Amino acid sequence: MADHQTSIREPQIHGNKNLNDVTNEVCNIMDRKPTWLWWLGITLSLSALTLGIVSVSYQIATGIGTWGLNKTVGWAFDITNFVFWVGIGHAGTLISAILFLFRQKWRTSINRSAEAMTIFAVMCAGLFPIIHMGRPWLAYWMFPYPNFRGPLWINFRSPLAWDVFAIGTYLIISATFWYFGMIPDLATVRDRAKNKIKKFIFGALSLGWNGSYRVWHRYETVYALLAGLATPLVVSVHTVVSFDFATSSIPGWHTTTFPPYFVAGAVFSGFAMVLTLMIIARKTLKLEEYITLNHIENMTKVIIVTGGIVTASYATEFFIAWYSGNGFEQFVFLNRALGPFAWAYWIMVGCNLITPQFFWFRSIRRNVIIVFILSIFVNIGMWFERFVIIVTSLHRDFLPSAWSMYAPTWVEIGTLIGSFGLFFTLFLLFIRTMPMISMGEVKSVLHFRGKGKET
Amino acid sequence: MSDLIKQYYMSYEDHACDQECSVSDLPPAEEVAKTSDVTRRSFLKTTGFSFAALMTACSKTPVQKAIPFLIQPEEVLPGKATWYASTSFACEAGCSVHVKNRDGRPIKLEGNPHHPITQGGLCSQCQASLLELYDSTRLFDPVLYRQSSTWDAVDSHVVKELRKIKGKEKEIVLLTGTVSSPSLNFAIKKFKKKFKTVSHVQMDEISYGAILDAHKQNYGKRILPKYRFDKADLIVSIDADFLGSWVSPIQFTKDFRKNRDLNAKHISKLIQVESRMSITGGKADERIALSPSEMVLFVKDLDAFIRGKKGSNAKAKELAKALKHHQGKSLVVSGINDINVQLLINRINHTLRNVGRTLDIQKPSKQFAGSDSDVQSLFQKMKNGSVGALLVADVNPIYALPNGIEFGSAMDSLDLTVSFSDKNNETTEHCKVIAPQLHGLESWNDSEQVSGLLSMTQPVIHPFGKNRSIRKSISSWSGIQTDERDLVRNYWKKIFQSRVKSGKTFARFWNELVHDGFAKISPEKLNLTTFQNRKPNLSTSKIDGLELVLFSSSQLGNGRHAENPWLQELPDPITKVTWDNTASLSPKTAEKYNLKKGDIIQVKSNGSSMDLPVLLQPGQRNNTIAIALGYGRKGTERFHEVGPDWLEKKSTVAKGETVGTNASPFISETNGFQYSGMVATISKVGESYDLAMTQTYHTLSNPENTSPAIMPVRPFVQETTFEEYKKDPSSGKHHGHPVTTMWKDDHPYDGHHWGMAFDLSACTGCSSCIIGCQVENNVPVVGKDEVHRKRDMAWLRLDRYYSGEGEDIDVSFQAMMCQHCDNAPCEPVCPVLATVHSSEGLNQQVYNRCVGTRFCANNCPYKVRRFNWFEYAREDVMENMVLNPDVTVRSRGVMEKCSMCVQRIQEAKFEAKRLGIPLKDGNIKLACEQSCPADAITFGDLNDPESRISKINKDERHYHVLEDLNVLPTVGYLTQVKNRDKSDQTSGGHHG
Repeated sequence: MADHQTSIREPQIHGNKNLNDVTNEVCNIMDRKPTWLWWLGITLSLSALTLGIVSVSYQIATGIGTWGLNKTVGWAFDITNFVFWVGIGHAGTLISAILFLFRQKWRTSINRSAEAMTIFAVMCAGLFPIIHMGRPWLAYWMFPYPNFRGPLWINFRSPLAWDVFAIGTYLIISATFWYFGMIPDLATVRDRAKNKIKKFIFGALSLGWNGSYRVWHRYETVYALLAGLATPLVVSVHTVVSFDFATSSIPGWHTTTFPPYFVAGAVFSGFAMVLTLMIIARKTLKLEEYITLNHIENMTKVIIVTGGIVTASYATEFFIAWYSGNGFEQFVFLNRALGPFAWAYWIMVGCNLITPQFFWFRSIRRNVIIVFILSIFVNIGMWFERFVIIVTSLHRDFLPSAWSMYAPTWVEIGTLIGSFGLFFTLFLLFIRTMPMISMGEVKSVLHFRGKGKET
Repeated sequence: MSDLIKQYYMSYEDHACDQECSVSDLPPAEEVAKTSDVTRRSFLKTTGFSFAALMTACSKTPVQKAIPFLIQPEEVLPGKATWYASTSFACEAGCSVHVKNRDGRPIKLEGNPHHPITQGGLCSQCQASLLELYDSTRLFDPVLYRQSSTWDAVDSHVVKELRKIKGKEKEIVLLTGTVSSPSLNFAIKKFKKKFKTVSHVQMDEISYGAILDAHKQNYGKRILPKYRFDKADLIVSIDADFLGSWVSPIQFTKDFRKNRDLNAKHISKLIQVESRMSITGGKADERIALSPSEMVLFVKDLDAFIRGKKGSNAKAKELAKALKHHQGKSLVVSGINDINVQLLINRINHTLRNVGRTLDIQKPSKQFAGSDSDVQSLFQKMKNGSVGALLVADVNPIYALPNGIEFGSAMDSLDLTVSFSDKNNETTEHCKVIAPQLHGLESWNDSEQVSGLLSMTQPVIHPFGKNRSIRKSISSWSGIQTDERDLVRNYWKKIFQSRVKSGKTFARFWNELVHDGFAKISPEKLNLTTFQNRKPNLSTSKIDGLELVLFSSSQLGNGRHAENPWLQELPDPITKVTWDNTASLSPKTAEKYNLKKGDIIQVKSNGSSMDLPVLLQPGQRNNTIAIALGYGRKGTERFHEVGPDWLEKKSTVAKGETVGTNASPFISETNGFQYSGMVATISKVGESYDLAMTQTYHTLSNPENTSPAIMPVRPFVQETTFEEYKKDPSSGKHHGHPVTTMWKDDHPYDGHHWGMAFDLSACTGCSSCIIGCQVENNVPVVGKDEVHRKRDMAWLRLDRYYSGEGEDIDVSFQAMMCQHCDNAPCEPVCPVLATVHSSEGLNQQVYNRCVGTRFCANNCPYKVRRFNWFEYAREDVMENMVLNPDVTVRSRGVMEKCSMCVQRIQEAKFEAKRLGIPLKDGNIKLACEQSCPADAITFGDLNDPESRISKINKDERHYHVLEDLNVLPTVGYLTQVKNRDKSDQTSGGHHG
């Protein structure tokens, strides 16, 4: 009945699926035995995670001195990783909340994974502010809670305290939103479950979902409200993170353009990470019909836009440094581009400026392999962006007597690898235990021409 | 408030009370606790204690005894310091000190401001020598044939051997450092009387013999003049680092500073002629870089021009003219240990009629009396077999002599060899007997370092071991059994009539002497002849190759304190290198040999060769290699363990290796001991080496390729010339944008407002402030690797900046410590309020609140905050006894920084409160301020209009570093004023 398919738009989901197909195919990912690719993935991820656990345990037992930091460069890999991971998270919220509010239906097949990615990325991010402390066992002092030390409160003027709230809020809202969106699908899994334990767990998780119209109605309302609540977070979280630098006194940090610059950068890197993950997932889990070339193309377009904003920010920084007439400021930017860390700067420029330009071409946008490679370049570029901002600004600031260099130790590299290990381990466990595609939402964008009715 | 913050009450009664009465009416905490018999806290305490008691009973933990005094010693009051006057023993200069004792332990040495010679201030070596008292590797028992022994056994053995040697008519030689102690000299006299064949040889590890010998030829007596840098208007120093390491640097710095008062009509002018870059060269108004061989020619020309004869050097001619202009008000000194040069110097000073005016030969200095020829002939006699016994005290000839190893084997053939060292060193290895002496803080001593002034040393702690002073040991062997104190006291009692001209009784004299630490006595009469002109026999051959310059650094000197981790980690004032000596070359020479920093080269000279890392030293004369003496001492192998232990740790020294290399074998023995001018060759070894430097970027100019057009030089060091300063006191200051504040009332400072100022003009860079701060504030030693990783912990760093080109280099020093900003950038960024502002303007760090985010350090524009990257355990547990109990020892993971010695401020405030008198300006002296021999640091109350700091803050020279940031630092700086013509100013000036 191909002649019936004269749609104005290309369908969101390919493969002439009916509702039953969606349920079966999505749930099948969880039900069938894991493939060797999954095993390989989890082995690599767990190895990386183990390395991370060893590194962090060693660092906490011995001291921050096991990192390559010094009296001049007090932050490097730690906060770079933190900002990087927070940034990664942004795409998930943007896809699930903002695109939802804008009724971008193509988001349905990727929003669940993107949200999961958000949560795991924020978990990775949240790790770094804790382990970067000299005395991480006192990390709870960062929270304002009634105490017997006076009572002694936290410093509400400190951007680090704002971070605690920003990240905390972000994690809570994202997790709620993610979980809430999953309830109908959890109920589907519950209904299909043959195993008693699985039935019990999913039964509990699906909160007595019965699929009635009333339930669906209330669900839709709450989902829209939560989307509205999550939307400002897309902007606020990275804005607050950028305050860590923007409110400081160090040239290269003390920059008013940081909030939009950071938000754009976050979305930029987040979409790149979604692309990286989704391209792997659609290939290995055979989800090409759900995550189509259109999805990939749409995401590359977002990358072009945000990449453009990031490029404009780099240019603005240099312009303002020149325009300000402040020698210290000018030096910091000259030093970024020409100083001892110029290599990092040019990696950043190469990855973040040049990579998105390829996406102007439709043929490249629809070439999965090239997109995959370019998405990794964006990720590398964005990691280096944070490294450049943090390290090059610190290593040569005002007094030349204090200038120094920075090089990571293996503990820091192990911690970075470990954070990737944590991220991928959680993601791989997620796709095995939870419906990674939002069945309920995908079903809503199917062409109603179901096979069932035909036969 | 009660709406916002919940109050928790112990019981209802308290609650009721709180409703009615104010907080101050609340019963004290103990009473509150009593309101119920078993509170939650007491329950937890009891259970916790029982559990702990159970655990203790189960395991074998070492018993830690803390026994309270049964009878409280009269002078020891817990929590209160007792001060004793004493005299330093760290080097021959013999500075007068005040020793701070807490709970019976000396914890700090400070210069005695009343002492007429050293006038307060103390060098880094002397301050750090305190740590050596708590060195667990000291010998605490006498040693006989490598076996720990008793004094009875040692005494009888030594006396028996000495008698035998005396019987054989062989010589008994007492080889000591310069003995400036009259009572020890007396004991030696007695010893000589007893054993007849005794001869006393004095040896200085860094010899000043040529000066003494030249005076012998010119004036008939071996004397070291007392130089008066305060009386000279024009000082020409030829390779004499008198502000850093030459003769008596503290005394000279104090004197030099006196004639540099910028409010006076004239200030002195210092011209330094040298090959390497010394701190005196850095301080000099004019500096002439010459190689050692050129320097000899220069002195010859200078002498010729001054006497109206002909010479070839234009600079010498100019200088001679200036010197003649300042006849009687000039001073020419030289550190070249060549009698022929010193004869010329004497002739120059004589011709300029300086003798008796800027240098005193009637009341000379007795700090150095060593004779090179005596040492050399002793060695000959030892080889000939005419010496039977060698008793070595205070010196380490095997380490310090160029042919030390041969000296050692000559020692082995002697019948009796005794060392008085309390440490195992190169020389004790060849000694049959070690009679360990007391540490200076454990012993009675006296010294007459300058004729006519007696300084006293008194014990401030009960000796740790069974050690005795040399005086006691040789007295015992001479058959005199008197105790330590009476050996000194009885001597002075005996000669009291002849040498002390005062109406006092001896008892009173003695008590005052011990109390004050010094007393004026009548100088010994010297029968000097009038100036006898002697023709020097100069070798004036020009050397084409590389010339070697050996020097003693201001931090390690002759190496006596090489086992002191504080001094090893103290960066060299100029090079900023720690934990190593280097072969320093001028950048041009390094380029010629294709060498860069850290390349290992093999240096060959004088028949010896050694491998050293290269350091590029701007301002050094081309074709010279400068190497510091005092390194490579045995015993420094212990620093293998220093510093935090972790996976990527690189040991400070490889196992069994020493810190640095001993350059003594390079000392040439022509005409006494020559430290410079030896011909050397170098070759590349092909390895490179990490030098641990605390500062790796050396100028205020930006790196060439990243230099913004509007700020080629950073305006942190602001300087001018004296001439300009006279016209406009604010000259040389950088005029930035005026800054205003919108929050004037944020910091009212109703009481005190502490402030500090640092005078760039006064600072010589000697770095004693860094050690002063380290001792006072329990700053840990972190080891070479950590310094290399830029994690040195010193709260106060002395930034050193070069300016100028080629050999014409200017050096500026700038102490950089927490600036205690009123708008401190560190304060708002701390999430847990661990760094807060006090009502007196101090930026305070709350260690136990700090969680270690390091945001404060990142946000500090001055980068003066220090983080505890590890738990820094002391390399030697006994060293914990030196900790200042008033200052918290920081644990790992917390930030620390200069506290402006808040413990000193509090102590002085409490004392003033106790006495009911207002705090006076100068009552509080910070550790750095107290240490400074140049009076470059001033601390005080900015709210007191009469305080020195208030006046300095109004001075036209006063500026703040990074004023434009509007962080409002309370530490200010005074412009550097050099006494030079404007035309002399080097091109890379700091005018921003």
